[in-house]
Amino acid sequence: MEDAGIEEAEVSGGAEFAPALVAAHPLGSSVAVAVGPELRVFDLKAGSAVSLSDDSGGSSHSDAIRAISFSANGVLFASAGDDKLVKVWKTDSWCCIRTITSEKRASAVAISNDGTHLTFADKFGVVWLVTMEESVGGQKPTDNKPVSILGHYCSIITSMKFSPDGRYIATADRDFKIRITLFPERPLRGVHEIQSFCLGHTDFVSCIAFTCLSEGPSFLLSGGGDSTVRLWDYINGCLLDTCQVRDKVEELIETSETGDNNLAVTDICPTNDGSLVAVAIQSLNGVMLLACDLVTKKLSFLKVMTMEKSYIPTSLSSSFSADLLWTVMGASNMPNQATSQLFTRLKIIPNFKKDPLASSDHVPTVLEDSEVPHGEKLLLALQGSLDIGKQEEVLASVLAALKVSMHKMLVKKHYSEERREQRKRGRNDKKIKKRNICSSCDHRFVACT
Amino acid sequence: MAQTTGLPSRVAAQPSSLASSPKRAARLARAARAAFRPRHRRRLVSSSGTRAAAASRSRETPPLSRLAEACLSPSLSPDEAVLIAGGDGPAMTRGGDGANGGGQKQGAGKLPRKRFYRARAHSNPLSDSHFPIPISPDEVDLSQHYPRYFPAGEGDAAAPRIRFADVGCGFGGLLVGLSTLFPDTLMIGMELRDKVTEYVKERILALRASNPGKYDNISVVRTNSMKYIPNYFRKAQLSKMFFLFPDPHFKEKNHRRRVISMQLLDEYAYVMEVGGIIYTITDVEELGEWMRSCLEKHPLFEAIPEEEIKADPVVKLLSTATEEGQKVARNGGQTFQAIFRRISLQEE
Repeated sequence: MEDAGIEEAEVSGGAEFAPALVAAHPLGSSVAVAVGPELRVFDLKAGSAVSLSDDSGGSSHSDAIRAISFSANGVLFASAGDDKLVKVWKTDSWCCIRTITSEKRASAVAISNDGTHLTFADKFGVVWLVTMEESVGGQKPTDNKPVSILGHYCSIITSMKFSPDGRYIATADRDFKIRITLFPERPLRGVHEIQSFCLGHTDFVSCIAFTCLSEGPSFLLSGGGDSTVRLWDYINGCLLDTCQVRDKVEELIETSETGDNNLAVTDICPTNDGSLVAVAIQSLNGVMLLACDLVTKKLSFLKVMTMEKSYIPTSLSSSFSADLLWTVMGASNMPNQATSQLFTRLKIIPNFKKDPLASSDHVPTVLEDSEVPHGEKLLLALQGSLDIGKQEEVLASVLAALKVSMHKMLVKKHYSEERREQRKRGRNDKKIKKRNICSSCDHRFVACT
Repeated sequence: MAQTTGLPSRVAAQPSSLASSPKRAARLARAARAAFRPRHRRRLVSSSGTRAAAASRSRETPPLSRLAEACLSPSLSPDEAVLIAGGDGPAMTRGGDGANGGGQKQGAGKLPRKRFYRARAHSNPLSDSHFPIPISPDEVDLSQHYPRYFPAGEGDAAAPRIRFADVGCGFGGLLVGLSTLFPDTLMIGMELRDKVTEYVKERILALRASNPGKYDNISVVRTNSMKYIPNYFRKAQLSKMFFLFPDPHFKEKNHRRRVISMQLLDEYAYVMEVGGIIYTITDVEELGEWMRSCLEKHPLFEAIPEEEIKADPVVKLLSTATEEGQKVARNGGQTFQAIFRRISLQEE
């Protein structure tokens, strides 16, 4: 029974932690932060926090939100999480128009470019599709249950995006795969034709993002547990370039701190013109910038924008209109937490474009708290507190827990040869055989009866 | 389901002269008991029981009658029958390795014995795999699998590609049968159980050694084809895929472990060329219906007309070449085929 002991010890490493997420409205009118079950929205036009309302009749989020996404035109917003709820919001009134119950925990969510369909992925690798009846107009589908349209075989889908032209849906999983599937006009009949697989990552894929030259062809960027950012010709499934971020990070951080070697890429965010990619990495206090040349199809290291020591962003986002890169850090439940409030830390990088960032070595490139648009109001609404920057130890423990949690969820389990043999011996069918041995004559029952 | 057929009569048909020892009696009783178990559990127990019986029988019989037996045995190809007969006794001139009769290590040109490679009939396709997986199809080293087709030092400009995949190849009966039928086509078996994969590997090596110039086009790889098909094959690479007698997974909870499903068919369609053919066969009616309905529903596959199926030489092999197929035939069981063609998507 020592085997069971081992397993319990492995499981009891702590509750699951979900990273805080940030999403900026594509037109820059609002910004949303999700931490745990809380969704915080700040209206940048009105300069005030938004109070969410719910018309859908469904319950509100009760567990960690795992994915948030604006639609391409910014009209809709979707949130999904561990409570198996997917909620769709209208961004003009910030009113929830739809609550969909998933069978499993949702891990990714996306809205099709024309806003007519919503897709969400669960932790078993199945992607579900719902028609947004409001946008279709007139013909309401009779039963509006989610329909499964495609599946990765029993693998957590970590990220899901629609291509800029809306023809493809890209899904990334923890089995190192990125799948590009044709998204047909009528996807309710199933999404069966696979365009390509982007294979090259040697560990889980944590994030994907499309990028394109203006009016030009589009490309796919991906980051993963193997500490690389890769550039893909996703139509043909060709790997164009790989950027190893591990070496650069190890130069910056003392080796003692990176003893655990978890330098997974947690999020990537390209600029609008596709010339620059911001990369968030576990253990890196700051954001790494990569130059992305879509003409020569090369990724190259540009610089690291270091921030205060305990600030390691968990999520990045930028909008099409304003040149701001929003970064956020936080986790769903804080260890040893006295207060019930969930804190996040928010930082903004202005001038998120290649030219100013490449040249300005001495200009402060991260906005101070006082320089943030709408100042304290915004910070209070999105962070939950103003002096969160002072609570260094809380932040540090949050990050440690996050790292472990992500590792546990996404990295493949490796068992030693002995461990596997041991497990085999304890298998149920073998136990049945043992029971069949007759106690009185030490023969099998068959032989002595 | 054809559950109660076969087994009791097979037990009775075994030579009674051998049934005198108490051990033998125990074996018979066990086999009889097994007849009343659910089919998918029974398969494991009963087949290993009879296999052991066959092995003990072959140890006792003189070489000459072994030749006759081997030639009659339906589970072996003609090439293998010769191999078995020649393995221990009269063919000492060939390899000079006749001494290591019972050892697990197989000499060159000698067929492996199944009893050393017995494995549990089920394997969990959902678990994280611990064996090495190629990151992409470019990393699959074909020269290791097909040395004759990839001589060292030659550029791979016009290198042939694998065209057939036997998913869940088991002990490799179909591969051996197909190898001579399509001598210039590269084909690969994919199997999740490592011991069984080892057996097929040894079997192919033995066949190659004893039949120079033949069986160079078949190979086997240990993998979880439900998870890693795109890691092995490029888009539209395969012209035939085989799914023969897959694990039925009766419980609804376990249906997602079935090797044919709407979602997995997407991936099979991706690696198959337009016009390629997917062959499925099973002796479990419920699973047969499931596989047929999946293929019928899938927009990228269409049923092949009956006449065409009859003319296809491969179809006969489905039920005759594999070990599982022979077992069903022996027991007088029914089989359910579904043979479909990969088509391009019809846009309306």
